[in-house]
Amino acid sequence: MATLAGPSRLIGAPIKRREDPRLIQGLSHYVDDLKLVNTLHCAFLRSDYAHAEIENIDTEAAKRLSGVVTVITGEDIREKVSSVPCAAEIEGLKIPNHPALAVGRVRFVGEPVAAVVATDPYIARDALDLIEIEYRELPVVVDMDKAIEPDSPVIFEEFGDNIAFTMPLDAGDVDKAFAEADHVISHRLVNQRLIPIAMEPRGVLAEYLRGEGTLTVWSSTQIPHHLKTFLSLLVDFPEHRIRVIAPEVGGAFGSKLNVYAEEAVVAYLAIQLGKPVKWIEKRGENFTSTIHGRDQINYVEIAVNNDGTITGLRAKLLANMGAYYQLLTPIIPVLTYLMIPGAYKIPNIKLELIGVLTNKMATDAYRGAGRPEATYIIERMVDLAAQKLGMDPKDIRFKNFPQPDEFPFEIPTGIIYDSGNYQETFNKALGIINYDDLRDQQSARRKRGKYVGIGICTYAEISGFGPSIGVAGGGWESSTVRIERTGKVTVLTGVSPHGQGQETSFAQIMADELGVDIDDIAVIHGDTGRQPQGIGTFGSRATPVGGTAMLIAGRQVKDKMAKLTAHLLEANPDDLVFENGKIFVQGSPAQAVEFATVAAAAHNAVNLPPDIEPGLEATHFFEPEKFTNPFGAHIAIVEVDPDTGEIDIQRYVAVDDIGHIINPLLVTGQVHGGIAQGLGQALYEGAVYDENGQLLTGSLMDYAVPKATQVPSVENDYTVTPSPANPMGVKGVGETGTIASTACIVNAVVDALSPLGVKDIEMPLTPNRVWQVIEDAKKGVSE
Amino acid sequence: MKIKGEYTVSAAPARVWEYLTHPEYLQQCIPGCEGLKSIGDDAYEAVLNVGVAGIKGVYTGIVKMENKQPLLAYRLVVEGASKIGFINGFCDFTLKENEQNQTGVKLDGKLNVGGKLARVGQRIITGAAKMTIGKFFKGVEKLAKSGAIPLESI
Repeated sequence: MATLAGPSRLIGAPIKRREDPRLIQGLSHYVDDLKLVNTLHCAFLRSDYAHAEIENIDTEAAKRLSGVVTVITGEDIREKVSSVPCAAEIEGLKIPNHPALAVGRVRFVGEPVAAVVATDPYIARDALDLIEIEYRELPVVVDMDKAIEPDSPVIFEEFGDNIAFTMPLDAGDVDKAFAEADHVISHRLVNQRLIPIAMEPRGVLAEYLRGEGTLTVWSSTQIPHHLKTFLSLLVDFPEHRIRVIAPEVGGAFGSKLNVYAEEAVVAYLAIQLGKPVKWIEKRGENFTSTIHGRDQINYVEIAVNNDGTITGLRAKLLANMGAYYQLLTPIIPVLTYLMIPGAYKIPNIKLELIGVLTNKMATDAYRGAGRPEATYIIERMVDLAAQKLGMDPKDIRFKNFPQPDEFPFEIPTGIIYDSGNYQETFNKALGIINYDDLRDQQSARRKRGKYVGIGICTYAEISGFGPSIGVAGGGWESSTVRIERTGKVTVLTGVSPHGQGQETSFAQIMADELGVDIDDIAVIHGDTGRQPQGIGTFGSRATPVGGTAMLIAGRQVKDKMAKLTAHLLEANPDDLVFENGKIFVQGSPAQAVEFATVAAAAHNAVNLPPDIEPGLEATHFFEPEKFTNPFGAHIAIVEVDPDTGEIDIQRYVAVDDIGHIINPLLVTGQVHGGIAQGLGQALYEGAVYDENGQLLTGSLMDYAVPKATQVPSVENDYTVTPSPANPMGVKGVGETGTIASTACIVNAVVDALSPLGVKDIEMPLTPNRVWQVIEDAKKGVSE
Repeated sequence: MKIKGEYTVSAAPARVWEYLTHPEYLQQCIPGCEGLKSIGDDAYEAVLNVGVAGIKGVYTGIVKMENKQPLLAYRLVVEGASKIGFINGFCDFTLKENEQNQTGVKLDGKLNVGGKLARVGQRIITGAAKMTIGKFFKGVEKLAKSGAIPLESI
């Protein structure tokens, strides 16, 4: 299939990230690095209670502290700052009012209750201690199973219960499939709550210029354009006078795909006070008050025949919303629901997804967002089925894959997988790890008393979000490509990279397209004042959607340049070649005209053909027709130390298919990072609230993010099945690692302990937990 | 967090009861207690200066004694708040004389902590609570050894 015009020189090349020199030299500018004259500093007082009535707030002493400019509470702004937005549209969804500062009641630990503005950040922090709040404690709802019982305390009385929504699905004849199946396997699987932990916490700086009537907001966000729109609604300020800038953003993983109360309050305060106001999130606040991920309890059954054919799947999915919704909270588990059959043909599926309100921080998109949960569910169930049947987990997977000629392949939840060849990818991974020998080696090592396990995860993903019908707020992307008068190329994109490296990969695409040096291309993003329209970076969409928008805008400019060049050279525009900063008629490179000369001619505008306007700039909005569906096969070898419960990952092979690859270095980096976060869920991470709704894992001392030494060396490879969803045939790679690795590692550890009769271990597989499982299993065996 | 423990004090229950219930003795024995002011009905306003896991704070709160069965048992109810979080809970004290005319004191209670104290301090809060209770009974034992007598009989 044709992918890209022109001879490909940079696409596919492992070019080092152009972003890195400034990052590793400390030359980047994050929100906190931005200094405006007369900036005031904001701090938030947060609830220590998970559920309580606010009986009284006394801010007088805080207001009297020297250096304090103002102190506001929820009552002060209830008419002035509207509800923190949720963009989810789900039938029957109950949407609670979400005040930016609590009014009357607090519903989770970390909920902002009051804001202080002072002349320096330390005074603001000290003033928080002078605010006196009287709370009256209310019964706390923390456990999802209990929260949906009729006798549970209710978080929002107006709703009558804690059920945010229910979403059923009944596809095929599930009851028949289960009645006729040789085996039914039932299991309760928990996708524990995770905390995203971006290296840079959130931060906001807002400046209102009274004379100009403009509001500029710098925020550590993934979605500056959405933030602009929502801020205009939140603080009732005309959108066309707001500019949002996402400067350097130090990681996000979905946690900054959001519009937060603090962004609204800081903007409001800047407008009220007429001075710049800044708030930088503390790590502790990041734990309690930036969105969490996952948190599902899944009751799953699959029907399987003796030959390994999976004929049906039934599941009840409980998804923890937290107390309020953030931007996409209820949508995330819908992706679990949609992707639950994974890479398999399962004709009969019955689901009930229940969103549950609890007195905890809201969940929302965290790398993978709903798909790691789905993959965990189906990949664990497939392994449980193989274990039950005494079948090799490899064979049950091949048995249930769709065939390559069945693509585009529709699964019963309605998703149509764009393209795929699951057999090729899996075979490649099996070959790299030498699977057949591996099973023999495993038997031999087991005889020597070693607990060795092989874990497989063959996943299918949905990404490249996406057609607008499937993305709240729009799934298109916009880009402007401009050739400057001197021939330099400015690429403006609506995606907002924050670690993904599109300043490099997008420049590779454009350098090939326009035949110019990569150093002559600047990729500008994260500024609504420069790139007027956009959606943002999330859902592995930047390259398939944003990259396509840029490519098409670039081609439009190139067409115009070709027309102008043809006019200057008295040639046919279709015969022109753009190469090495020159434009020439095919076969006549000696008569080339410099790219920069044509650029100057377009701007000098004294010798233009009659139908050509001055300037070289084009903007394109790209609306994809469909999602993309990356897929892959990850295989891990682990050894478990039965005396300590420690897990040693001895090999990890990842073969992913993300369609065409722009920059293999960046792609592999994305897969590595994703695997690290996915194995974090499998082995180390878990947000723990106690029965009173107190977050016990509130610091990096108590919440274990994997360190470099805990992440294995990954053996990466790829197959290439182009996506038909966009002209470059790319699928998106930001989340594959997280989606695959969690289930892969858990499958490996369970396989290692299967000789003891172990069928499952609840995540995270900490040494203590694994040791306990081994001890319990040994007792069970000896009894 | 559950609180359980057993301590032996080298004095008869009549004296130990006084040590465990009289505000002046309590103030002497409770580590970090900077004030205990009666507000009637066996309730006191307390000021405690305590630190856990590097987070130090001054707690102000209410200490109440309930279900008093003189010389045998009572329940201590605590509600305290500080800038680093809150503490509330109760502890049942049961006294029993042993053969050496000493008093065994059994503790059974529950403590809830919230806020930063829970977020940062939870890993060592059980240890800290045990240490605090241990220090308290050391104080009580010191009173017993010094032969301090019930204040009422002075």
